[in-house]
Amino acid sequence: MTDSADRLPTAKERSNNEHTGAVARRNAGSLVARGLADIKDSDANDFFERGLRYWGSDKYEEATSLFRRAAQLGHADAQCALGFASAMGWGTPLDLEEAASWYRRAAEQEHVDAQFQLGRAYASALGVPDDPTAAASWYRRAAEQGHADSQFALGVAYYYGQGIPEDAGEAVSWFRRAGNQGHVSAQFNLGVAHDSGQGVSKDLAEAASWYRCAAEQDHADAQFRLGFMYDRGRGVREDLVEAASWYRRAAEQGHVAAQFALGVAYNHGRGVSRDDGRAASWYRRAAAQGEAPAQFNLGIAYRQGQGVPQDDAQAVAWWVRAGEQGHADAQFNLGIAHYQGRGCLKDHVTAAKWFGRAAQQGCGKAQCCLGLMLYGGQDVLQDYVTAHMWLNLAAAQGVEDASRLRNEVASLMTSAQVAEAQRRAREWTPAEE
Amino acid sequence: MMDAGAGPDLPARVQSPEERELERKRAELAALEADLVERELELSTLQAQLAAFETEYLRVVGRRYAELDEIRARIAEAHAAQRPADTGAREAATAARETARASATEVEDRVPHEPEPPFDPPSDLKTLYRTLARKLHPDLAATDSERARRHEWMAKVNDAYQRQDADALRVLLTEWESSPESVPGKGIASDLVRVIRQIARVRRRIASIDQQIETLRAGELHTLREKCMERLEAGGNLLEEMAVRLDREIVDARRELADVEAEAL
Repeated sequence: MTDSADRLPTAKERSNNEHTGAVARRNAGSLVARGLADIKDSDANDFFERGLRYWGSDKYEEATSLFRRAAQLGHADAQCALGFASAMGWGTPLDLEEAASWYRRAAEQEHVDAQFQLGRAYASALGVPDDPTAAASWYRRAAEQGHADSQFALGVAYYYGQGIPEDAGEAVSWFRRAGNQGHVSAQFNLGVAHDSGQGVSKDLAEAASWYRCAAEQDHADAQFRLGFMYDRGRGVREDLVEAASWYRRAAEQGHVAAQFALGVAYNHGRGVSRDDGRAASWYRRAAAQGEAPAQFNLGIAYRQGQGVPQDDAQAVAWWVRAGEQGHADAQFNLGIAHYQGRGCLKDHVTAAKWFGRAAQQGCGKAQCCLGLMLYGGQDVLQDYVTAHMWLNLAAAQGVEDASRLRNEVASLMTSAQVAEAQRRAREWTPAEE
Repeated sequence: MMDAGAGPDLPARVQSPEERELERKRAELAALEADLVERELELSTLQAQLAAFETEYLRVVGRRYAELDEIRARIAEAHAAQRPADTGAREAATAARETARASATEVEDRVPHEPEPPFDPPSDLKTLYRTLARKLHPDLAATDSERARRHEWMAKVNDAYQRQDADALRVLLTEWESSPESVPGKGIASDLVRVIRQIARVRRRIASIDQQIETLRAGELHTLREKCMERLEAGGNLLEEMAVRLDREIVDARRELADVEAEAL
């Protein structure tokens, strides 16, 4: 018994392997496998850590070459970092396909940042074919593991139905998960969703509170909207001082609507003491960014010399910029300015053109002025029918003198002409530019 | 009258086609024989190297894994004892104990206290092995009964070689040369059949050795050994480095165990 036990290994190995000796051990034990895995991990970790140190001192070539060694050993952080370096062309040639392939290797190891990046690559066709479905599925994989950027991105995909069926309710629920983690864009979107009742029942108080979360993290649009909620008492108690202070934070970040709103606040002393100089200066900042109402108001400030030296030509110049963008009041003012030759050359044809653009948009005063010009035929073709139509439309809006002028022109017209003018007035609809 | 002496030299003996074929096959067998002996030596050397390396690995690194696993098992058991209602903790403790037992079993009885020298046979040992293998390799035997007898001998040769026991090899050589060998039957036809069979057998054996070497080289043990040799060339000692790292983990684990046990009191 003892004898056979002693001989057992030899016999066993011989039977496997005829006569290859007693010490043959083909299969390494689990401790060998474990040691090998630990070495690989620690080597990879070592390369990665060294790479990070180079990266930190902007030595990208050294960094990426170490990342590559770690990445080839399967180090997920290194694979993700190498993907990033390849996507940026830092320390390695810019190569989006290579970037995507490293992101993929890390993503398959459940590296959430890499899953997010791979999702982005599919969403924007960066080194992979454009594939919104794949994008959404990678976003989901990271989102379910709690990755806030991916939760936000998945929410956006649901909102617009990109790669997954459109579902505002799902969008809001992913925004909420990201928003609760402090994702600022998700918080802003939650504000918008509750403000407008998209994907969730409308709740202005909830909207204001999400706007506030994002606003406190310096999200300019959220600051503006929170200011507006205070301005109008939407979901919060009206508080003009609070409104102006949020407008200011957004305005100082360059938010153009907030700059305009702050200008208005100074103009009217809403929540701040009235200060025409500051009003004009905020109007100017917004106007310079192309905000038509601000251009219009700045023109007014120049015309009236409020907060800026009086200057009719400057007023006309700002109104032209607003009027070209379709601002009806600016167009009307330009009509007047050209009619009178104030701040510009007197030019009735141009005046009629600006009145016409404002009139088409439904500006009653412009309709009245245009009607009067067509009635009088000053430098424009006299046209009673059209004059009657515009005067009639202006009168319907209660513009002073319009009905009197319409009756005057009607007395010069045949009943058929009047009927035609009335028909045209009935059929007219305003057209916004 | 023709002069017989002026004609072409006749061969001393007329060779039959069977004889020519037998000669060719014998030459082929002789060439294969040298190849076979080298492969046997290579395989036996590799096996011995890996076995020595594994023992040394288990001594330096494996023992520490086993120790670490034992401490971790105790930590898990202490946790489980403190939370009798927690099934998760109980399962974790059972799993940790199982790991510790497996690691201990792997290390047990295989680990000497003294360092295991790497297997590095001197060239005269290899020469002795070649000589013996050529003489008594089972696949070079002429008959089946002879081959069976030689298997035992070849196993003894491999054992002695892997123990680096040159004296034992010399004793085997002497004994072999004085032992009677069965004599194969005579006759060209039976010789030819025998040699053809021998060639086929040697070829199979060479293929089988190649496969075994391939398997060993692809294995984790060989990979680990290669890594150690690379590190050695770079002036490092991988096993020592692993041991140092594990010792740190053991210290941490001991501290954790002490904390857990203190919590219990």
